[in-house]
Amino acid sequence: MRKPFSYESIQVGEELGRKEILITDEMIRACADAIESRHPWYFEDSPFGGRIAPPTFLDNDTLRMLDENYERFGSLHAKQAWEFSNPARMGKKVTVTVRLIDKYMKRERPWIVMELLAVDEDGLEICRGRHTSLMSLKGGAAQ
Amino acid sequence: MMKAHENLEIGSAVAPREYRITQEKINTYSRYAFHGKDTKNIHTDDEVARRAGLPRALAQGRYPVGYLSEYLLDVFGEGWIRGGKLDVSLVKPIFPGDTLTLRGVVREKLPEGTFTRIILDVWIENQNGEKATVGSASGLAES
Repeated sequence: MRKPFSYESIQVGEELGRKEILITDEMIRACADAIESRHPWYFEDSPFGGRIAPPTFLDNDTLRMLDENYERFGSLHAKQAWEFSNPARMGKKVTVTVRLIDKYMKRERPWIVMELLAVDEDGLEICRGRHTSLMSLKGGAAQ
Repeated sequence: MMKAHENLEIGSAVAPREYRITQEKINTYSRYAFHGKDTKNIHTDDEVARRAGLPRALAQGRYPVGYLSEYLLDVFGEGWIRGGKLDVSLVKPIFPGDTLTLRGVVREKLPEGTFTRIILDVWIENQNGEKATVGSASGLAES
């Protein structure tokens, strides 16, 4: 059962979810199409040996996991940070973990910070993302 | 991997890149975010956006972040996939009809192990010259 999306109910340190994602051709194409990229490393071959996914291919998973836990009616994405450590190779499984790492009030408005960590089946860190959102939009299914 | 001295001297600008934002492109990104499903949300539907207190439908915050990552992949190549860092604030909404220009200027170069980390100020500006996304990015180059 999903919890109300309120400043009081958000728990700093809470793990929002952990899931295993197989990097597929379909996933790579959908992500590349969405960001208008035809980079050959996504569609042909790369210096890493084989095709890879765009580095930001997990950019929707932070909010997906938040939405699996909380009844979010809207939020406004205000900051995004990424650190890319290794290529996300097609055919590899990646374990993605999302955690709420901070919440704070600024100018009387509530903010949350979430961190995503992706590690592949060989134990290699693929990327870390940090997503900061204002919580207070109303009535819209925001992404 | 590129060499640190190649075309990226401190103060030099990276060639800008332009994207035109349309409602259809925003819808494509939304379908990608929702695993291929069409949904009504603040990005795809003006009425939902207005109910959330917004003037009309607007682009997802992380959508231009994906553009920036592709821009920086072309700057740093392998040094973006292994070692890329991006930290941006989404300071102004992006609407259908906007033309975005991605820009970067080299701010600093720092030794990092056997590599050189090249740090850029990066931003996205709209057709009125207003900055919509601002921050910094860095990648690795051979020393």
